[in-house]
Order: sequence, then structure tokens, then C-alpha cells
Amino acid sequence: MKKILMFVALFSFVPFAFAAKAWYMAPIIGTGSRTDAFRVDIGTYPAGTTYAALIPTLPSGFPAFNFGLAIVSSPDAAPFTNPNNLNEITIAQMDLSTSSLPSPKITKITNFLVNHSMPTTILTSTSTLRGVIRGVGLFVDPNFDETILNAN
Amino acid sequence: MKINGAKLTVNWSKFIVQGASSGTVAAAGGCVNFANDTFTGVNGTLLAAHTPDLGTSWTVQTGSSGDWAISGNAVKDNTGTGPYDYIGVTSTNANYTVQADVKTSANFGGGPAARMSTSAQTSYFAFWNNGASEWDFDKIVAGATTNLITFVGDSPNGVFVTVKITMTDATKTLFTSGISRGTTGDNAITTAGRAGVNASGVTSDLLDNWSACQ
Repeated sequence: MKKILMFVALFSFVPFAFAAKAWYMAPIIGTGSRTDAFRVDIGTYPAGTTYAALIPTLPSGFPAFNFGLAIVSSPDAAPFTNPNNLNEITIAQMDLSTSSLPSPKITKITNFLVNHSMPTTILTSTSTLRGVIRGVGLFVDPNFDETILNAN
Repeated sequence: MKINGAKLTVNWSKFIVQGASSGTVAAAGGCVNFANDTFTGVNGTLLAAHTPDLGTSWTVQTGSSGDWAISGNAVKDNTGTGPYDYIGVTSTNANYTVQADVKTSANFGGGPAARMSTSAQTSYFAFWNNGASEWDFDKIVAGATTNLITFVGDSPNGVFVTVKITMTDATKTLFTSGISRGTTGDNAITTAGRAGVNASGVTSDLLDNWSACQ
């Protein structure tokens, strides 16, 4: 349950009729072997799904943090909106004001930041979800650019 | 297909004329091959003993074992140990593209690799993850693998699928069948290294029409 609660999808939208996108902050799983690579745990998605992840690593090749940032594009939005899936946060636009977020989602993001030793100012000092994503990304990678990380 | 002795590879929106023994081969879109291999040769010849169409030689990367071998004018993981091999020619900088055609027999498959270290098991690479029915673009640093891009679909089981990876400064993109699947800004490996191939440890998977351009 705790593991599931650690999932946080920051943002999702439906830009096209057949694709939905969502940003995730999620735990890193895997052992680092070729068939069990370190990866962001975003659950299971249907054919046609793409995701791209930000997982900074140490010189040893192991992840520098126990969580990563990912953007998921899926032809089926169900994984994002399934009420049993606690990682779901449905947001309309990347530049939507954080003030429009439902309270439970603000709480979920805040808890994730706190539980992973990130400053809550990442949320409070910005007015948009883009700012939150950028803040988390820059926390783990000083060269992070949210316009590069993309899933088609 | 052969036309006047040259092997013609249909490469989506561009054509690459192969068969010349030396020199660069111009391709549409401004990407010029600095190495390529159609793996034409005697079955069983190890890749390290095979001369590529362009690019001098192949070397098994430090940290991996076994080797690829020629099989039906393609190449396969000869020992099932998942070797990574790099080409014996350097690009002029770290920005280049590597692609190959991959076919599997309902198993894991190999693919292209880039920015390969010649002294450690470090590189960016793409391969078919048959367990999850997905293409993965990963980085391997000092032997530890991290998944950066995944696309669920476009299975190479029984049919050749072209997989391509592009390195453009910090931006890395995975393509399958000519379609961009995802992009990451991971830049853990910044040096040009070498272009090459990676295997998944399955002797039945095939790789063909490998090329590297910039």
C-alpha cells in the first residue's frame, strides 16, 4: 500500500483522441541487470504506450535517488483514471495553475516531496504544474529540461 | 536486393547505397554514414574477425563476453552471452545516429548502441524486451543498466524491424519503424565513444543492415 501511495502522477491530459499523457514521480525498481534494469515503476500499460524517464545515476551506474520522473503517453487513458489506481491525478494542462488542483492531489504531491526529502517550496513557490515538474527535475538533475523529456 | 552488384537497403525515407569498400556514403537528410555493415560473409565468422563494409573492424566491448557471428548474411549472438561490440572507427563528435534491423524468434533481441566506452561496459543502447513486449532504450554505466525510454509494441518476432537511436548533445531519441517513440535528456555519457551493437543473450535473434551516421 505504501509503495502504491508513493506513486504520484503529477499531470495528465488528452491532447489527441487516441493518446493520453501523464507525468509521474515514482519509485525506482529493478536490479540494474539487462533484463531487470533500474526503471520508474509506473505500472502496466497497453500496447502503444511510450514512456521516457529521468533517472540520474552515480558513476557506479546505480540511481542517484530512489525515485524518478517520467512522462507516459498511452492510447488508453484508463490507467490514469482508474479509481483503484492511486497514482492517478487528472489535470487538464501543463500550465494549469496549481491553485486549481483538488486538495487531495496537492496533499499527494506534498507528501511525495516530503517523503523524498525534497523542499515543499517546489510546490509553493510556483504557480503551475510545469513549475512543479521543473522543480522536481532540477532537484535530481541540474540540467533537467522538461521540454526534452517526451513520450510520443 | 542487389542492383548492379550493390546491395540496396530501403531505409524508410532515405536510401543508403552499400557495397563500396571504402569512403563515406551519403544519405538523405544530411546524415552521412561513417560506418556500416550488411554482415555479408561466411556463416560462423565471429564479428571480431569480420570486416565491415565501412568502418575497419569490430571489437568486443570490455565487460561483455562471447561475440556475434555471421548467420545468413546477418549476425547473431553466437554464444548466448549478450556481447556488446563496437566499430573500429570514431565519429567526429558525440552527436550521431546508429540503426539496425532486428528480428527475433519470440525472444529477447539486440540492437544498436552508441557512445560505447572502449574501456568499460558503458553505452546507450536499444533492444527488444520480449518479456514485456516492448522496445527499451537504456544506458549501461559500469555494467549497471537503467531504462530511459520504453515503447510497448512494434514486435520484431519473426519480422525485421528497424530500430534507430540518435544522440544529439543531451537529447537521445528512440525510433522504431521510422517513428519517434520517445526522447530523454539523460546525459550520463557525454563522450563520443564508438557506435556498435548489443545482444540480449539469445542465439536465435538476428541483426542486419547496421549503420552509423552523422
